[in-house]
Amino acid sequence: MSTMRVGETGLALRDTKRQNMQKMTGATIKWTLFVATIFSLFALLMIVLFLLYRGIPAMADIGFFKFLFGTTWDSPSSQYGILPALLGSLYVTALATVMGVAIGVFSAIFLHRFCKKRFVGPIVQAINILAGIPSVVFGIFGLLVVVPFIQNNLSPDVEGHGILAASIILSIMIAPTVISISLNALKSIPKELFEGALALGASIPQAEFCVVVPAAKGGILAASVLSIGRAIGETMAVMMVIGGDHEIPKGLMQSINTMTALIAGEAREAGGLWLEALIATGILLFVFSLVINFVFMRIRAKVDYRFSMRSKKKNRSPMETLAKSLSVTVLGVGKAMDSDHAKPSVDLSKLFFVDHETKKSNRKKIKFDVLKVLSCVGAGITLVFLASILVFIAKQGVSSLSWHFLFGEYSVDNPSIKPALLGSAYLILISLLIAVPIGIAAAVYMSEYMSRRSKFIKYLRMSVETLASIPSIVYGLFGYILFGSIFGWGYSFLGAGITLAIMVLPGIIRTTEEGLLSVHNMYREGSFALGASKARTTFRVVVPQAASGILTSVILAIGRVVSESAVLLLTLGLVPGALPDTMGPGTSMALDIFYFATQNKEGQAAAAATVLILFVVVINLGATQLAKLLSRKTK
Amino acid sequence: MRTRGYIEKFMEENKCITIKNLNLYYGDNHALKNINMDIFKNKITAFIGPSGCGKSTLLRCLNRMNDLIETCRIEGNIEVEGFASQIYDKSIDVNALRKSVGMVFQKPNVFPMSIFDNIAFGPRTHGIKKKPELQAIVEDSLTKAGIWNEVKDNLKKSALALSGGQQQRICIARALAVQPEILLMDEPTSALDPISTGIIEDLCDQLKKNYSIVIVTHNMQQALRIADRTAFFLLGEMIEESKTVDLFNRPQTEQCERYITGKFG
Repeated sequence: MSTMRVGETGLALRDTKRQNMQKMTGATIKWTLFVATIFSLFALLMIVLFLLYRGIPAMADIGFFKFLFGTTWDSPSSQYGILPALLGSLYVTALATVMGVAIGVFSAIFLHRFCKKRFVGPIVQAINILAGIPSVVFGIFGLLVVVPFIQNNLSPDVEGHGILAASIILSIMIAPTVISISLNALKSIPKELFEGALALGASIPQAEFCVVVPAAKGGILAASVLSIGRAIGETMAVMMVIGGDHEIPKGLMQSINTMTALIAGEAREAGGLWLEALIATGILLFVFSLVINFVFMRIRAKVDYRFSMRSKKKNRSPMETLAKSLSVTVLGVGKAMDSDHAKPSVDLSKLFFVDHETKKSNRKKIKFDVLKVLSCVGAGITLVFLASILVFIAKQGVSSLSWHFLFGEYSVDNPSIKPALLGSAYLILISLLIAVPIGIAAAVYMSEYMSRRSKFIKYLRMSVETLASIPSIVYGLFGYILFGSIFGWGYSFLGAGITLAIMVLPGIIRTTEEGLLSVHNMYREGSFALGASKARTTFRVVVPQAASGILTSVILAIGRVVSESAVLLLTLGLVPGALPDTMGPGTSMALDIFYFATQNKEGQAAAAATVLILFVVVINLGATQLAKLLSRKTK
Repeated sequence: MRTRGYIEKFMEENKCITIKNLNLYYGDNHALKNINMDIFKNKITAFIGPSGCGKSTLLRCLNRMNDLIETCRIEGNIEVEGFASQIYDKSIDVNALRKSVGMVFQKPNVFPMSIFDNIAFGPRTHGIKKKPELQAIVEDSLTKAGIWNEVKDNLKKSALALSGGQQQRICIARALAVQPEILLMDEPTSALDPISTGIIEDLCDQLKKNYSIVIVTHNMQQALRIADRTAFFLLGEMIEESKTVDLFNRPQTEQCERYITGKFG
């Protein structure tokens, strides 16, 4: 056989030279991607190491038991007992989760089975809006509506701040997540199961509650665990209504403190051991999020295992992709909603028992009718809260909205949000410039260059997910100390931007990777079969097809950056009126809302919130439309 | 195996692929067992056999597409004309191999780009950048694939807008555009209707003047219609290989006879 074929045209002559060049650029690309991946991993390690390095000695100084079980938190006498805030966090989280999951699951059941089909779409859209409302807006709603309501109607002698107000606000905040994940889990149950139950003589509610809901319990459980994680890490909304007294929680109306509110409230003034005690509190939060994330992954693995029959080929609708990415980015959930082609193993005869005695059977059916009513009530509560938040904000805000308020020059007597708008834009610019290239590169490396069966990729994904589940206030604390004090930048846009970049990085990686993994292998094979190199296949064939996923992840990251307030409070300071300056402090939309709310400028707070909500809604709609557009283009 | 006559001896000189003692494992699963065979130049060779018998696996060995499967382990030699050593040797550039051994897949996998870009993807991969040169290649490939007249006015249109049969011919044209010597086809018509199937079969018949074709098919009639030689596989073994007419009229083994008469499989 001859080494070089005769009769080849120009193609062959260029071969050797090209092959060598290809090999070199291929290696360069691979290394670049690898470095980005390692960098992402390094960011996680850095946060963990930093927390331990600064927090553990503090725990030792205070005394481990004194820290965990002490009840006094007093800086002049150097006593730092976290117990009240710890219990406060648990108390509020438990209450909020119970309420939020109940409301959410019943709403999801309502939407899945009892709602008129033509209303489902709009309601789901509305709930997506609710999911996108920044936590600081929930905060002012709590401060201006829920707290006075409790004060006036329930307990005249207390001021209204406290456990109940915080739990109510938190439960509304977590409900949308629970609804969207549960609804997806319910939808994934094959309708044959439902029809099978009907064929045995069950009423519609009976079939739903006895067969479909139990079959979807994995997804519902995952949603609940996830919402616990969100509730325990929530900072701003809780801080604004919790009261802030360092006391052991006893009654519902009591003003207490949570760990997140403690950190956000005190870190800016703290120093020395005080600050380190707050970092130690951060460790506790981190441990909680680790545990919750671990439990979540275990449940998801089980659900996945049960649903492993699902076909990977099925294309998701853009809205589903968005909902999924939303939860991926915001909450770190991925596959719980992935159960498109569920084959749950439900034993009809076990779950569902038809009684032949009419009386008994009727009583049973009434029980399910009650459950049906409850599910309507759940959906009702969700929608009432959504409507009241939007109406309240708009009503209060519209009167303060003016050209000057939006774009005029800032002064103390006549404030405008121009600096905040510019500040938010600047933060988006800095954080995305850092996070998007690194995140996409890491995702490409993980999905295209790493062996899909290796242990390493499994751990890498787990780390990314862990990074995504860390409460934002912990990122804030990290940025505050690393950039603010160690680097000596003080409050700065650069420090805040980098911190936000690290915060949105895991979301970008996850969403992008999902997008890449959903590209069918036949396209990779088609390209390889033409002799294309790995790099060319990846960047010319695979990545363009995942463009909609990648863009969605970027847009969601923008949404997250503009909504974030806890991190910025610690890294950007809060200097209303300061125009963006890379190394100087400043303000952002969310921070301005917080500022106005705490200055009793309710009108301005609501007006700024209106603008922010509009912005977030537009962003989310934009993401949906873009995803639709791109998927149409490629279909 | 039949005794080799004079004609066979002559054909042997014209072989383009030689497979020697090929064994392939997916993890612990021994998927191909000691395969020995030759593929001849400018002939259509069909691989037939029941599902899971290893025919597609063997096809994918010929351009090393199995490299993409991580659990896959290969022993033995495959020699392809034009390559100095056997194709699983370290010195072989796998991209160059795939350039000269093209492949068409079961499901049409046109890229989500325009028709022109689909065809030009391969040549661009191998360093052709100039527009006139690319245009010549695109026209030539589409003409060879018998679809030029149907698409010449819509080259800018997305290839995904075409019908399944047209898409498959685009895939064939795309494979031809990198000037392969050998064309592997993995059940190229199984996702298509009878009319498109007929068009592709006619196309194969024309293409064998310039290319050697290996086709995997589930359809025995198809093998009978277009293949010069046919190999029958069962449970990872190559049971019988000969001229198509001989294999179908006078099968030498009982398994093969039972299969082609429809008694099992």
